[in-house]
Amino acid sequence: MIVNILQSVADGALMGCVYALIALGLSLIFGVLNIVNFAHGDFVMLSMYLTFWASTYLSLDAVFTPLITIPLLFGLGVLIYYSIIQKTLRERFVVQVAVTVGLMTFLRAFAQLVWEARPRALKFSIIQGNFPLGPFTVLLSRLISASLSIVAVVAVAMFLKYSWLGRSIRAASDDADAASLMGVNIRWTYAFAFAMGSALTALAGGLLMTFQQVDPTMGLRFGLLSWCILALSGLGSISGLLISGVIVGVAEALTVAYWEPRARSLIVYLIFVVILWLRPRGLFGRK
Amino acid sequence: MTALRVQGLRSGYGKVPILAGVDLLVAGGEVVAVVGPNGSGKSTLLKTICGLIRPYSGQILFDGRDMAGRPSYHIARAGISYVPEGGRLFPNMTVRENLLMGAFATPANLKSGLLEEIYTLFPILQRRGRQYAATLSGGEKQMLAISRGLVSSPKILMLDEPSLGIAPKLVEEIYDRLHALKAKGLTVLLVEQNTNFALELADRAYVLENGRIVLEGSGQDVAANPEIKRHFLGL
Repeated sequence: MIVNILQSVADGALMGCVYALIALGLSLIFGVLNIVNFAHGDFVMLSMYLTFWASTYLSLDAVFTPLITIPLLFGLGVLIYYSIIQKTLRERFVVQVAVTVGLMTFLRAFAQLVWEARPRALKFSIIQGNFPLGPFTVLLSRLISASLSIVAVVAVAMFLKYSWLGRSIRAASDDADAASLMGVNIRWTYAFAFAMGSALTALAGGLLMTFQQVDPTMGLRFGLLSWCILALSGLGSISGLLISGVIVGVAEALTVAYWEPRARSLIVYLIFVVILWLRPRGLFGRK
Repeated sequence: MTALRVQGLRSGYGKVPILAGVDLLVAGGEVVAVVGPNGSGKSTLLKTICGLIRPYSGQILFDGRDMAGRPSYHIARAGISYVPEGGRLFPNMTVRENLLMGAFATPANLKSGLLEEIYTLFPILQRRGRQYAATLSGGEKQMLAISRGLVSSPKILMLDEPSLGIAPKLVEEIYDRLHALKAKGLTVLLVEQNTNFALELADRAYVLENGRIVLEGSGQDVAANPEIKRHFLGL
């Protein structure tokens, strides 16, 4: 019994690291542009399909597909920023919501058209397989995905903290006008942050495809997951984001194992609502 | 040599006009103060010059080029540094990171020892280097804001109400440093409610009222003008 519970906790924790990577992209977009992007989860879904496509037609293993999908999603992010997002920045909140919800619906309809409604999965990845560790079973694909996610999250944190460009992104997030007075091109910086947030979903999508299938309605689930993690963590703390990802991942895994697989979104939503109610700026967030 | 020449500048917030045609001149190495009552358009003038507000019409000639209507990052890179009212620091960044942001467009400045020069001017900033800007006191925030505006070694420094909401003792300290910067030949355009300090520092001064320049002269002349004393300065 204890072994089973610990196994679920470990599986959920590994999954949570990938969730944190997805939420980091959302956090970047929300924190810098101050825009609520409802389409973020559908970027993950799109990335998973692109991984499927690249893997099937280019015979590339899913672990390596981010080499292609990261530039693709970055480019798509730039395109979407300049064509849609930029025009909504000065609009009222409802307009922003309408636009990103529209984008979400569009991406889902697009996926249904191109890849049809049936789920797709990859038959093989070089990181599939498992090994025993004491009484536990470690899924290699999940272990590697979690490790790569942590590496990516830390790398982004270092980039934001120490690089020239990263500093200007944080400055724009703090006070866009003041940043422009320092010579920072705000439009360009916003485009970069949006594209970078989108590109992070490409890595997450590739990792997810090594151990699970994709269907066109999945975006909503990832969107909800990342908003929940972001609410739990608050803005501005990278370690908080990782911990929150793990909490959500574990809660989900325990629900699936000991209650009811169909209730996992319910549990995530419950965490989301409770944290917004009790502590709106999150457990680790700044003011 | 003329550093900045403003001609017939009209500007405002949306459709609410504030500046009704302002002419102003700042020569290289000169300290110019703009004084006047609350709501006369002093801040609007500086915000329009630095590009945060688009002018309706008029010219902002800087080094012979018209800057009117250009984006603010462009104007900043041209060498106009604006220190906004209240500082507008990056609160979630450290004191040091705020200073590094000041040199965003001129990274070479950081290698030339400019940061050390600024630390000599305001030693407290070096001690507070790792602290978040949000944790500074009002006076320290203003010192950091001025320093951040200096790290780009601008051709002109524009200060918006540097004494606002700051303890009198620290106002003295800040103006003492501004005198030192003036002695080094820094070009300054200064907007102040605290006219005593501003007019003492300034080579020349303009009096702004309802969006128009109503008087101009040397700092001492403006300070001595009986009309001005009575109407605006409350002396």
